[in-house]
Amino acid sequence: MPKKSMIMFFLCTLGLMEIALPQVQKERERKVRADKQQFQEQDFWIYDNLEVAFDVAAEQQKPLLVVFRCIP
Amino acid sequence: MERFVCVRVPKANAIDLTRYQFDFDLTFAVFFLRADGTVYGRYGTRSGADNAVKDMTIDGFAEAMKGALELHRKYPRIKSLLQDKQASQTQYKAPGDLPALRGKYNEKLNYAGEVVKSCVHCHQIRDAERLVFRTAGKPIPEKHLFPFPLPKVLGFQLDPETRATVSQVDAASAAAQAGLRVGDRIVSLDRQPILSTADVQWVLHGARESGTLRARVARNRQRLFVDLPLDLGWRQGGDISWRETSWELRRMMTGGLRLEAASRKERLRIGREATQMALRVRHVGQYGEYAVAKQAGFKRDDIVVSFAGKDDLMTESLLLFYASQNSQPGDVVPVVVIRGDARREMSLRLQ
Repeated sequence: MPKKSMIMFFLCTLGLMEIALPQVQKERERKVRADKQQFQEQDFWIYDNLEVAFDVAAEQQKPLLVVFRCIP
Repeated sequence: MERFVCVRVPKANAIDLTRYQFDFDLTFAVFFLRADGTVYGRYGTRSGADNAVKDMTIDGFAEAMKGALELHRKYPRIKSLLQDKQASQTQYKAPGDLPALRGKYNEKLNYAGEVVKSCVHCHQIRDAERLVFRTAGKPIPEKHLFPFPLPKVLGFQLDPETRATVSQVDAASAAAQAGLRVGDRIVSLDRQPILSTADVQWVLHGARESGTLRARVARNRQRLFVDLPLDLGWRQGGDISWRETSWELRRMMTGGLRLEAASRKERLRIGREATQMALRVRHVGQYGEYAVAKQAGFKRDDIVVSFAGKDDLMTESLLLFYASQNSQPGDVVPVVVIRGDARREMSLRLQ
């Protein structure tokens, strides 16, 4: 491969990486926010508030089901 | 589900590590608790990289939930059986107390800014715990290297559609030796009621380095005890290569190399027997501290046949374990690889 082409290829690859990496990050940001919205819209779930959940469980004498979810 | 108070937690920031000890390499883990903090049980298991949820089923989850409701009804009669369901004490109360994470994260996620970056990911807890030992120049304890062992390490597997029914017993294994049989339903292990494979893993996680573990099993209409032997080093049979936390171990122990057992074809090509060490370089880290092996000249498809003078490290897990017990950051170890047909003697700086 001629040197000029190699440099172009390298720069294009770098450029693609620069575009691709933030897109992966943006997608994950979107997923985390969507998770919050989706579960907050359901009365059934308490979202990210263990303190409130324990209070409700004590009041209603129900067991707790605590889901730890790392959104990939 | 309506019989529970359900709460979803998308982060590990500020969680109580005495109460919430689970397999931090999972992306989905469940606790069943009482409002006073008593743990009834856990749900959530993973055994490999290929499929994060193949070890979990709706039926198995439903069974675990039913079990939790049964324990809730029986409380406080069964209180004494639940006391070991959580850690009695932990050195660090919350992730933010661990030196590697201290001062870097707030208790709450930053939805106004970059929310992902504001999150303590569960695997970071295990990474940070291991780093405490490594930076102090101490061996990383087996319990931290092989966390939440799968029952397979003792030679049995559980049906994920059930709470804890034995689906396989390996011949000549500890489980076989103890008399465990396919179809046995594990009711309790080390006196703890069992709701799921994750509960079995929790007991194994906290088990002694050697001795026996007593399982109470239901077999047909009988209830009987099975004493599972734990031989010294029993955890070392576990496979940690799929774990997210192994990337940090690779940084420290292999300079960013990801290794896997060489195939039969590769062994034939280089003349290595199945009983001889041959670990193929599957990936070479490219950036920062993960690129130390790359800078030392290691290449993808190199076959590692000796590491730090040892030529019996048959799996990547065992190599990571050995290095973590026998090296300190900054040590330089000799590594012998076969590249093509040539044998090369190389050096690798550990971190």
